[in-house]
Amino acid sequence: MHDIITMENVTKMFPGGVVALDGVSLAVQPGEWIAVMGSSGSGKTTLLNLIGCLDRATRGRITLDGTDIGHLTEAHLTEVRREKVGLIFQQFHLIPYLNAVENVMLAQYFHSLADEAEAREALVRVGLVDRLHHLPSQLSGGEQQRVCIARALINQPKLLLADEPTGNLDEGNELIVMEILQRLHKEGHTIVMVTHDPHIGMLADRRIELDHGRLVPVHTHDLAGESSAGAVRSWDPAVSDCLDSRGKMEQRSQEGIS
Amino acid sequence: MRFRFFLRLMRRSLTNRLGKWLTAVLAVAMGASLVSASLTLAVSMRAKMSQALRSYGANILLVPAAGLAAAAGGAGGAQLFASMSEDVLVRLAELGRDLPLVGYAPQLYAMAEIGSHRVALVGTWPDAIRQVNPSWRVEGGWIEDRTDAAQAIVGTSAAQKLGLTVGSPLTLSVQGRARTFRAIGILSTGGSEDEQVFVTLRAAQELTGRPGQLSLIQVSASAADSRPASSLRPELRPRGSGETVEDIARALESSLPGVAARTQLRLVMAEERLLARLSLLLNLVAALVLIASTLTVAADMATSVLERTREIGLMKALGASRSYVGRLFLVEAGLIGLAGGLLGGGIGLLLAQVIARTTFGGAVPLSPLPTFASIGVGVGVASVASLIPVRRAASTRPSSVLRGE
Repeated sequence: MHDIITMENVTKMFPGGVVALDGVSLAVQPGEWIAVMGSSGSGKTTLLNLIGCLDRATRGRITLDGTDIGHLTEAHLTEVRREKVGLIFQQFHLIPYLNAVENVMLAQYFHSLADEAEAREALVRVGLVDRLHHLPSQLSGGEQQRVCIARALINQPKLLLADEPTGNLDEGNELIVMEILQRLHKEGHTIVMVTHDPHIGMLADRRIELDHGRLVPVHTHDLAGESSAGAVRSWDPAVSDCLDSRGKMEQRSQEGIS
Repeated sequence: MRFRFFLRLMRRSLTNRLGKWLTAVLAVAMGASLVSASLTLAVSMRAKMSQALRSYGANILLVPAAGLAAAAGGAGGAQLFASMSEDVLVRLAELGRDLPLVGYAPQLYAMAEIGSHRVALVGTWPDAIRQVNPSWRVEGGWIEDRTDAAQAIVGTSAAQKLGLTVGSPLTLSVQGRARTFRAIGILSTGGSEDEQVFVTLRAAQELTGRPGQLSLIQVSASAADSRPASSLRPELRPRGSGETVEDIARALESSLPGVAARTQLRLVMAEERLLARLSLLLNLVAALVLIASTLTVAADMATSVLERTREIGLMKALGASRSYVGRLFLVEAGLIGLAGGLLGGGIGLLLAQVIARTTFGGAVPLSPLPTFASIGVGVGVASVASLIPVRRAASTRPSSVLRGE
């Protein structure tokens, strides 16, 4: 089985000479859940943008499901993104004047055909059966993120990209969202998730860490006692307790929510 | 299905920003209303203007080709007025079927004596002279019958000088022939007619002993402009014949032997200048307001694009193409233009009615052309105004959603 994502020596520079990614190489297998870790400004989001066909690399080669996306026109990039990528955002990014169902239908509309029944079904699956016709402003943060997830999944993408999916959520909603991600992972979805929270990162199969645009060895203390694969496959009370005891919220406020 | 969802998106987006779009719609409506008013007036003004000018009198005079100089000399004696045969009226009636003639009134001039006073006697067709000169004001009655031989209309100055009122008898004598008439109306025109006494053409011919003779014919021709029709913009060309007063005068002259046609050049020139100046003014104001409207809509669109950068970025991240984003904004602009154009068209018609009422003293006829033009201008203004903002929107980078810009 070929890798769903390969990055070979990828560099991304922004105008003004800022090097956001510096010679990054990476391979992700189908069904794998990768956590991209690192502090603010380390290049996590840039990496996600490049994989998601939202931006272009300055140098290096990126393939997505076998397609070299480095030489595609903007229109082709849009097409690849539409067909293969589902995006989950920290800020949810729902259209404020569309209700939950319509926000999901929007993604269907750009992909092929807006199908209201299918969009409802997707929202039911993330537990929003009684929130279908609410506007984003009438939904809690967690509910908005679940709409965002339903939208990301509606076109059955090969790849789910999540940018700090729990970054704007309280603990209760964080649990719900991570449960959903775990379920998706079990169902075989490939997930690349950016997070600066090591405890969220622990849920992934594999963690990579960026520092000033370079891949660096993952801090081993974050993985203490875990044998990576399958170790934290389910979000059980023990995990929550563990997170609580380590003062997660306090730690987050120190790091700042990026 | 796709289209239905697009409509749903448009509806949601427009209702969401209703307040903001309203200023854009009003800006478009302002420009469009002036275009609509200008066009409505331009179309009706020409008709109104020539009617207004016609009410000052005939715009063509038919005179004996040889007698013009003698008539101008004006030395006393009825015989000095050169004359032509009234047979010309038969030919003129035939020509009237092909030329846009509003009316024509034959006249026979003579000097007559009333007691010791001398007055200018005019024999004419009483009904026709009123038609040709609709602005004349009459106190009392008017002669109803072209064959009448007992009634006279007296100019207000002459009546004053002679001490005549409505109902007074007056005896006119020309070269020893005398006849008594009754003054049934006092005429005031503000012109030379105030000094004259009017009787029927037949009565004058009998009294002067010049049966079948005419001094001149006043013709009122309907033509909206004195310039050749071909030099006018199509929407300003008079309907139908497309002939100018000069064209009609030339046509009359060439068809009536022994007759010279003189246009009321002065009035015609004034008409042209007034029309040109009014049109220029309206067009200038309309152009300025349209520029202002375009800028307002452009600013509104630019603000909208800026405020919706994240929304556009999201749409592109979800797979919307450049052309979709462009279409979204262009359709919104088009709807704004349509709404503004319709509103402006309505306002413009009202505006035109007000201007017409105060300037020409009458309502303008409703025509669909200015409304269509107004909608066209509205959509055009909105489209031009949104070109740059829409390009900007279409170029929004999808990565802006992740970077949180």
